[in-house]
Amino acid sequence: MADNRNPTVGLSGPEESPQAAVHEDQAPTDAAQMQPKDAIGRATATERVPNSSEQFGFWLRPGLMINPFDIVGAKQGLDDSMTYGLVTNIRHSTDAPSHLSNFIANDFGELIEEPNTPRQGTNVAEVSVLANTADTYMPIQNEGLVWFADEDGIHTGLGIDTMKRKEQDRGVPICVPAGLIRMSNGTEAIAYLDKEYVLGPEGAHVNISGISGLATKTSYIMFLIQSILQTMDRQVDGRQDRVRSSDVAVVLVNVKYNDLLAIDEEPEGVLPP
Amino acid sequence: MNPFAALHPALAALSDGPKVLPATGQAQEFLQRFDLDEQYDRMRTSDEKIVNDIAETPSNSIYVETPPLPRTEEHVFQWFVDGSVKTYFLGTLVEHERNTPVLLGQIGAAAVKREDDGRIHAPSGHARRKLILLLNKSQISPGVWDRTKAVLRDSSGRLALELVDTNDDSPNPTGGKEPRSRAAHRDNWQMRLEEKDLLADLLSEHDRTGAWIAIDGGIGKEFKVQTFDRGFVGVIKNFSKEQIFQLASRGRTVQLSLFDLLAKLQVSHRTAAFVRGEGHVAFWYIRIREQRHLEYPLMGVLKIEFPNPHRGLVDTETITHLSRALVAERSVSPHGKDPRWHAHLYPIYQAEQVIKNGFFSDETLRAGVKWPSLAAAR
Repeated sequence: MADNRNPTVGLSGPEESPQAAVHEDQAPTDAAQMQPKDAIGRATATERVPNSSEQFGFWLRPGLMINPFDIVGAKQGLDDSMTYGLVTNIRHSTDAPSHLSNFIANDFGELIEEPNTPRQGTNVAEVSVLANTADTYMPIQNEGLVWFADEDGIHTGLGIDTMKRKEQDRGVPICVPAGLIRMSNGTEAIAYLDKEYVLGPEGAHVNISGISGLATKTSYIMFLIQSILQTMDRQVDGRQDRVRSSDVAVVLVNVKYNDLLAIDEEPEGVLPP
Repeated sequence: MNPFAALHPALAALSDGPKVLPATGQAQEFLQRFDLDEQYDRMRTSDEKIVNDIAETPSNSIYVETPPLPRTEEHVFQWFVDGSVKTYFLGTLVEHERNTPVLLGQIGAAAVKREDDGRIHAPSGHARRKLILLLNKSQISPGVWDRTKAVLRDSSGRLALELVDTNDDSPNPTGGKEPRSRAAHRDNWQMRLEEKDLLADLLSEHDRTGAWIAIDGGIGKEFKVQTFDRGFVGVIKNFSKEQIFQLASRGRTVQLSLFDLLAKLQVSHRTAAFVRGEGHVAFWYIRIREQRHLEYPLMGVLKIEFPNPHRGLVDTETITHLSRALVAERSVSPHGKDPRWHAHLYPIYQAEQVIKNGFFSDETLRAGVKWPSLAAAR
């Protein structure tokens, strides 16, 4: 797999905008290009837990670690396309039919002896299907190879590839950098929002949820506003949108305390971490 | 695609002439209700029910302590071999006044390797799988037999196919009279040959690395050749209870039944070694689980058989060492998965799973082998 690490998005000025990342060739990764040796597991479909158009499971190669929210790609065996999905849960199961069997198998609760043969077990990840490179939504077939998604794969899974195509077709900035996705294997990919869904005409809002009191949601709003303003000034193939950041006024409606009323002022001293 | 397509020409050849009385509801699994381990051990020891001497040196104790020797301390047993068989009754072939049941056997043998860190895996090339057609050759005309054999030989495909005469019990004449039982017994024998073939390959691993091999079941006369004179033990989960031990003790002879012998066998101990088969096999018993946890004194005991090609006394240190390593195999166990869990070694259970998981399911076999209808439709 290619080196998927991208520089963190810089937002201090248009010259540091992630233009290069947006304009690179985003041909979907073909399953034939993926190497079996790099696979992290194989799809598994059983009598009780079948795969479907919406979800699939895969067992994980021993010793590997993944986490919920990692994005993986599975080979769609029927047409060699790739199906991308989001890991939603990971379960560990063994051939022990009951907890009592595990107790008895350890010499009736004997804790001193290390099992001579560790019980056979596997980690099985549950994956929600996000997208397929050929719009094939047949279930992932049993034994289909599964890889960590690379940056292109993450973008395909999240529909960012269509945003990029739209941007190229129209010659105006569409992709608003919205953050960085970092997966368990170190792969990083910039997450973009579609400007037409953030500012209109398709939609006009972003929902941000999180824990109260950590100044994270507010900080993210500030980041996103800055990102939107920079995106408006970004050039696509030498062309710019007719609406520039200088044409936009940002209105903040404060609903609690007075912190945000001084958001345009320099802080006094160093901000607490 | 029907996975049994390669078998259909042979079934068609069989029914070309003789009448076929199909099994009701198509292929039926032929259930062998008795415990095969015990039955075969009883057959192997039938001529030597009375054991007279301890056959090890220098120890002459009836019981020897064998504290567990875990893998983390010394990794003695690294390969585990098991075979499995599933037999289906397809129907009865009737030719004039003669008839023979026709059975289909799925047989296989597999070895799993345990790494030093405890992980086990089934290396490629260490599994055998075969489909065999079993019938009594003397009950059909030579032409039908030869045609069937030729068709099977020519059948290409992923499956290894074989035609076996159930009347030929020369390798192991213990099949009994009932034709279906004879066929099932022959099926087991073919499976044993697969295990033997696999073991022969693994012994080169033993010679190269010193890793010991544990094979499920006793050491029959099929292993009474020079190839199998080292490097492995047979592990019997359920053994004959008929043996009597007449042992000299302080100038007098003590007679012990197997129950007497094993009732006093403490956990992590073995009995003395004895020999059978004109001395070419040494055997002893090991208790791997405490009696207080189990329902019956003979539970939690393994019978171990060990090749003894020189027919002399076996070395106490060697068999104690092996016994200690086998005691350590008690954790983990296949409790809840196999009724013989108390005497079943988990890696051998895993080898069995490797084979069974490779077998066609009953549903697939019933759908894929409809005899004579599918064969006739060709």
